[in-house]
Amino acid sequence: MGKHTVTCHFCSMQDNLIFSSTPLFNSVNFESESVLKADYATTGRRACPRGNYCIELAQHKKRLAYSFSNKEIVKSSKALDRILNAFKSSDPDKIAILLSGSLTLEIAYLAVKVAKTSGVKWLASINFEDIVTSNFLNDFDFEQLSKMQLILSIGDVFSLNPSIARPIHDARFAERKNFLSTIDNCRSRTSRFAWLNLRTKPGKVADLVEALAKAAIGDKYLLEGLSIDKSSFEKLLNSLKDYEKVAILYSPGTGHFHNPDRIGFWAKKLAVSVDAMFASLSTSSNGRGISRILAVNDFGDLSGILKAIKNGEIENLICFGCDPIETFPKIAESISRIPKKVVTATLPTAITQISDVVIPTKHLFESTGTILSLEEKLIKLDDSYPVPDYPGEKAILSDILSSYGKGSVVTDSELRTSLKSFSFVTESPAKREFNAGELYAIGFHYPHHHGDGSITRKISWVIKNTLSSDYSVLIGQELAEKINVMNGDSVIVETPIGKAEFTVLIEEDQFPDVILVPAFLPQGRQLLGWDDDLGLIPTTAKIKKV
Amino acid sequence: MPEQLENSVQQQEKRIVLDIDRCIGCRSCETACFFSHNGQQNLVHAQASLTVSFPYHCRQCDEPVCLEACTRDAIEKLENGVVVRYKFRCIGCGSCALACPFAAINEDLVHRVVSKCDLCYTRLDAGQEPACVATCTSGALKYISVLENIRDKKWGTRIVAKPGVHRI
Repeated sequence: MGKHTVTCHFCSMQDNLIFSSTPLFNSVNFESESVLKADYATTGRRACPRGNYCIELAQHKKRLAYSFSNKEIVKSSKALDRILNAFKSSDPDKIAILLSGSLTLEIAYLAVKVAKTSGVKWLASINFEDIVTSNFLNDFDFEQLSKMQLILSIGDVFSLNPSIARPIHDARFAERKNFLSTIDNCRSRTSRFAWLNLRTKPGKVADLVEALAKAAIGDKYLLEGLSIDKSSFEKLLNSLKDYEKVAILYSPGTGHFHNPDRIGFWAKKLAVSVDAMFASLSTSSNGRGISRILAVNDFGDLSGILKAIKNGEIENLICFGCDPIETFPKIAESISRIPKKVVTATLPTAITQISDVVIPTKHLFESTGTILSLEEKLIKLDDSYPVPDYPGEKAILSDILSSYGKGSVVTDSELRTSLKSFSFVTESPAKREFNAGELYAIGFHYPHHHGDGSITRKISWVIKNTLSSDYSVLIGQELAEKINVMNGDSVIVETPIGKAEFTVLIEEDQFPDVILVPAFLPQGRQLLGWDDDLGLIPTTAKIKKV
Repeated sequence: MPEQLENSVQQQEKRIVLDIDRCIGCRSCETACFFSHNGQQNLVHAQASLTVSFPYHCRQCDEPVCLEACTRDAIEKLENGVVVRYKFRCIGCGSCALACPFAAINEDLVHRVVSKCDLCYTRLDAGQEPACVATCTSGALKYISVLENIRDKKWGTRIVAKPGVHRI
């Protein structure tokens, strides 16, 4: 079958992998159970742990290979008929379509076409982080990152986008040393490598980035209440202004920042004012592109959909490659009450267990189509290896469109026109109030998990090596001594939203007012705060030993 | 460096070295090892502190103690210096794991045998780097000759093993 260069299913780094086939039992040790083998691209973009999972995802033992209707295997044509009938018989105002960020732009465009044709108003991408990051135009060149003299990372890029570490380190260890700096509300994987880490309390990061941007522009700025060292602030400000080659990276993550939209806006503003390279890094591989396609067509109101689900206004929920139960565990019960549920999936997840119709689909690295790169270029995915003919999203959308007498061909120019007409944010988003407290629960990620973790928790390496320790909150030494816990002890973390029991892992250098809660687990997600427009955010918390 | 040492075969042999100043503990090397050996992870995972981790590799010793300890002649040193474990000779007794002074052999049995880093020698034969090096997201792992490693003084390379930190 030859060699095929494919693009990773997961984060916005869009790393490449080379897939090839190995004849079964043709390995030296007779160890080969794989038909497919993955190898690594020799470019700077190496596969992170999640990239390595692609080889298992392609041939996962639990991979959905058949269509299901009422939990029974049916022919795909029958399942598709049922979906079409359910769609046609539902009130368009009561249909909601949710898209994963790991779909192609063509699928997003077809979904828009379906929604416009049928009058469906609820259509959105499932990740708030993707929607936020899509609002800023990247001015980024991966190849140039290793030549930067100063890189400012807002958020934990090493955990969320691990394969960006190589050019950052190349820059750090180059002849003219790079000064990696970070802005965050906690100690992170990235900040441990930083020359300067500006840390402020959750809820204040947006103010800090705003102050930095205003200072760079020459406007008045306020540092009161940010509890940061003024000399460090000025050191960073002067470095940003003085160095010629500067890059600013913004990776919001889930439940990590309060007001992530405002942080992004001021980070972009800061980048423009100091003539720096800028990249906002989304959670999903193609999340930024999909969010923009939806936004230019007046869709993408995710918070509206979630409210409608909560209020019981939705009677037909269609999920393309995503699992709202794992992403938003707080509304799991409302989702289970929706009468008609359709899902396309590659692996069984919480939503596939309760859906009326399940259609098998392809991973992004098996798909053909277009994605939007970090460099704001359209990339063609046309080198997939032979994949079984899973009907997927395209079959559902084509069926619906043909029932209205419409075609399902999407041209490059349609995609380009759509993306070009996207309006980037020009005004600072509103400042939202944040309740101060003694302790804060902040969402965090490990590099070996992605998004809500619904896929990565099914990987054999994760099950074998990390899953037991993943059910932990991270706290600092000082807090651990205060509540008298040691590593592995059980604690109860309580927030205004709920409470849950975890084991504890102690990070010696973590700040004493921080409890890092796993955002890749439903148990962690349901503890985090909620903003109607921006999804999961940090919140005040309490912790006690069990 | 004495010319004799510079030209010795051992110095020309390539080994995996870890630049600990670059490692972000993402564990992509482990996943690459796991998937390229079909679920048998040969790479040992080290905890520098409770939340900071990095890999450490078999050093492919010049005089491997694991080879001496093996009761079934399942471990051999190849001409290129790579110490390999033959799956079908191994009975999983764990003697090699106990003998290894660097604890680079995992005591846990996978597929009823002990896991042992083989430098991905099938990949080496194909002119590729070991899988962990090929995937390393931060550039912390390099597959270079021992000589090159000693010469390159910019490199803060350290091989970490139990019980302490060893610099080369």
